[in-house]
Amino acid sequence: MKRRLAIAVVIVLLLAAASARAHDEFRIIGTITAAQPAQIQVKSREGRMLSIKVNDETLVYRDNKKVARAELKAGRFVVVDALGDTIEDSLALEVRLVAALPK
Amino acid sequence: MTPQAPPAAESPRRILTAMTIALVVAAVVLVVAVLPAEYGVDVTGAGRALGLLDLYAAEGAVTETLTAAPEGPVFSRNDGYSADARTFTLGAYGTLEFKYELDEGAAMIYDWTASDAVGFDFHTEPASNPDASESFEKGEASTGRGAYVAPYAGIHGWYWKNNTDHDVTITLTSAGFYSSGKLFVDGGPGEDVVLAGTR
Repeated sequence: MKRRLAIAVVIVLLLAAASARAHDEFRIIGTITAAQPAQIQVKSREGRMLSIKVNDETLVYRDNKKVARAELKAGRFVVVDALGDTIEDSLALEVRLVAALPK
Repeated sequence: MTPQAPPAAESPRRILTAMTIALVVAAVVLVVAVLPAEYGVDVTGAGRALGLLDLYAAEGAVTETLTAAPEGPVFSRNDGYSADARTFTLGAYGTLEFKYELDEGAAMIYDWTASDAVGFDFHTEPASNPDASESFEKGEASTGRGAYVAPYAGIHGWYWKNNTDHDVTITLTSAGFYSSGKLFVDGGPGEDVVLAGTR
């Protein structure tokens, strides 16, 4: 009984430590090169190819108005605010469809 | 011409009378004015009526020593005070982080103003575990003012993001017990910055 309790305490502590580890926020600016239901590929202005996860919570805006996630299409210029441990493993919170910026 | 007689010497009785009168007047002044004003002793009540007790109270307030209590509202500290002022420009959709290094319990006051509304996030990176970042204030605004007391040692400051397609300028002024500053532009590596003035 005591052993089970100790294991449970350790698991709870590990979960608490994991949740305490905060995610970083990343802003990615670039052009969508491919769009799938669960992720988009973006070529950043610096030339990096990044895969960013999207889900039902991801908000998509154009001209400050919410639009459907289906508007995320290849060739669109976007500003993505994503959250994750690293930029390569991040989830998009907000995606803004904007006019392409001059290079 | 008749020679004038020399003035008659005062009699001992008259001298004694004058001395007695002088002593009585001095005693009255002592009791009515000097004791209330200098020592707060007001036997007759005249000191309060004449406002002389206020003189005593004011004198006491100046000379009294009071040490700030450890958990009190005054954070008395003799070293590490800095004041800082700087301006940042965020390009279209650009981001920027600026943080001060504060010890646990160190305080600062701040005031920032942006030329357009920006997204902001006041957060920390604890020295003991930089991954355990905590956000304390988040939103969108064109100005922010306040006071902050660091809950632990680390770097503490703002993440700003420009949500417009034009440049936005942010002016930050602050003062407090921070030792250095760190700047991160567009998610790049942090660079140390020289603070405007440290005492």
